[in-house]
Amino acid sequence: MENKAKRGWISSRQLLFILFTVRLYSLLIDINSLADFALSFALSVILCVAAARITVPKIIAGVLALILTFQTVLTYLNFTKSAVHPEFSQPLLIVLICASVIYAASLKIEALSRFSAFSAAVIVLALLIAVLTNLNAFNINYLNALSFEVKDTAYNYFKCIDLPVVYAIVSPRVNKNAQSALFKSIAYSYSLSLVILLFCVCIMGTAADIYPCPAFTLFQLARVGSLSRLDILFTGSALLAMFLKCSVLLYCGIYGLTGGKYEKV
Amino acid sequence: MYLLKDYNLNLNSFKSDFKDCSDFLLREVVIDGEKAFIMAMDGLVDTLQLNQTAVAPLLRIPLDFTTPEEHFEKIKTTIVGSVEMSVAETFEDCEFYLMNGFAVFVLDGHNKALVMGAQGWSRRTTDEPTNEAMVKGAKECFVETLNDNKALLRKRLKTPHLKLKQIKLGKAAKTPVVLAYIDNRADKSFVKEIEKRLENAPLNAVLDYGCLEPFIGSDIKSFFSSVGNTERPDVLASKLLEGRVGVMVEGTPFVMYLPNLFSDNFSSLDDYDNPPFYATFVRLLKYLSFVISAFLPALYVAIGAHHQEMIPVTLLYIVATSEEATPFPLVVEAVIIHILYEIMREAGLRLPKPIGHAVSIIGAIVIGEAMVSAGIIGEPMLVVVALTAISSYVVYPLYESVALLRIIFILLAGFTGIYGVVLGAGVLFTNACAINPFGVPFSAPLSPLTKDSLGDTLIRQSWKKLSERRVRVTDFEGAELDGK
Repeated sequence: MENKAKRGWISSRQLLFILFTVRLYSLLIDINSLADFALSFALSVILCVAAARITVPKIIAGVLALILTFQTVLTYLNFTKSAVHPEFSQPLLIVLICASVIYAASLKIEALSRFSAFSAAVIVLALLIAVLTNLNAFNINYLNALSFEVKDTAYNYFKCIDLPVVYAIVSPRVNKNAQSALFKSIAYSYSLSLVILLFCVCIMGTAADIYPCPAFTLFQLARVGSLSRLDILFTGSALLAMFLKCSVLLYCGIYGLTGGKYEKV
Repeated sequence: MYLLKDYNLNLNSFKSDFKDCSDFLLREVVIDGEKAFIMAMDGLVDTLQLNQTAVAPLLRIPLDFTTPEEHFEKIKTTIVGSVEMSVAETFEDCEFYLMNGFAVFVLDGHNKALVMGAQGWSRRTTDEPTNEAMVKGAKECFVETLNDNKALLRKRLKTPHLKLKQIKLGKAAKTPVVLAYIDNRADKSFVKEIEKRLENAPLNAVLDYGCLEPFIGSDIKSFFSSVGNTERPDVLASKLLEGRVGVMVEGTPFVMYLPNLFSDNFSSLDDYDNPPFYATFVRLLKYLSFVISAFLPALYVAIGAHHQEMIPVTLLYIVATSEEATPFPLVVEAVIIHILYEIMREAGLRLPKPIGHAVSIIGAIVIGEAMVSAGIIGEPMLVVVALTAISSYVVYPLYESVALLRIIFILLAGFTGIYGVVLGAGVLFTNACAINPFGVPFSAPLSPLTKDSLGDTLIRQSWKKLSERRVRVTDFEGAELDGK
């Protein structure tokens, strides 16, 4: 029998889905100029090459994972407050996010990895819908308006360590080819993000770099007949990706801090 | 306790055990000068068959013998004409056989009993299935009699590789339970594990298949069940061919099979009688129906209460006008109407059929007309509930799971809008992904995802391609096998 699955272990493809969703979520929420994109890409590649060569101590990876978990939740809350619903009551949402993420992390890496395929499919499908519904406004001449201004803060570049952190904790539990999944995830997530970024410019022109989250604006501009507000699609799929990212990071945090005993419980 | 050589001790022991059992038949006879007695349970045996195959030959045909053992052996090999025959050594075994329609023959001076099959209880015919109707499929279903169910399955799978291993469960009732599997398709460790779990189930009686489910299901608490059930022999046969194991319980027309996967809820045997394009369309409709039945009311509440900007202006006007006239907030309205709907559904199910129809009509009038006219609920909400109810019947195996989930999602939507619904969905699907019934991921073959696995999951491939595949659940990616 060729099947080599073991409980508590995941395949290279599942790791790819996890890393792809984790990175794509950050790119869609944070990146709004080509320069930011290029810097983020370069930083991610350097960090991932380093992570593939150096074994990061689990405790350090665990601490970083916990910091990233809080930071991801805060970013999403900030996004909902500023971009989506300025009057939305957040305490209940915070409680709900925390409870969901803690429960999901308690189900451990196999469950999270299987869910990651679903989450990745949802976010890619949502992006596809946004692209298709905006095709009528597409104008390639707008590409002249590409912004090369560095706008992102150093704080946002800190997020680029998410892939190395997750990789450091999860890769020992991957059947084979973990490194290939790491580099493929960078390639796929950045390629898709670049396509979306360029598409946003082709739709919005010079206005593209004004918006903090052009992908979200793309959804706001989408229109299907009289249905004109598809931004909830982005908010929903991004929330699903955020939920996965936080759950994986929390799992990594606990796993790293307990020295791997967590998975055995 | 073992049977004794002493005739009177054996006889008195049985008489004492079956005291006040009016259906216990006992006849003492003398065969070739030796005392003996025959026992059976009235209503469980066919007395004419018993008389023809055992009692009459015993009384009429003389035998030569020197010892009771030789006498017993000659009776067993030359006199009794029953096909189903065995030897019991203990009182418990004798009683078990009696309860299963066998006649028990005990001879003076011998400490073993001859048991003869003469089952003759009243049984239901294998009618058309009531819960798994198919347009083009076979029109027969399992019944309450275990032997009939075994025969129905054997009719479909004419191979000695089909194993029907019988065990007794329940400390008091000793209910016969059969493990059905195909020995060259099912994983051996998998069969052993199911048998072990069943035998360790601390039950006094197994009155229905449902009481065994928690002992063989997943350890992870979930709204979804990893144990499937069917009343169709053709469905069970197809599951066994995929390496699954069936569990038949005496007295129930439903047969369990393991592992049950999430994608199993969306396929039916009818799919394979229809052209692939139509079967694929129906299958995708089922997935859509599941989404509608689980999430539509919650999305309506979330959008209506928190994200009105999403609704087109004309629709928003209709919803707003309708909701303006009702006294409750959307979330309360949705919960009330769903609970009312479940009450009426339950009443319709439990009542005798003619009254059940009346309840349905009253329900439709009360919900559909009176509540809207009285301004208690809005018309759009009624449309949402009707659509949800119909969709939930499309994926009937998931009805129980979805019925409660729907109300939870409505509450989440009412308090936190679309965020609560999405997070709830995330938790629900992560939970489903965590279930590994007997090492096979519940979410397989959708996740872990493989290109091949989609061939008969989201779409239905043509028979030419399907015939090349020999699907075994234990071969799905992510399935843990023995010897790892």
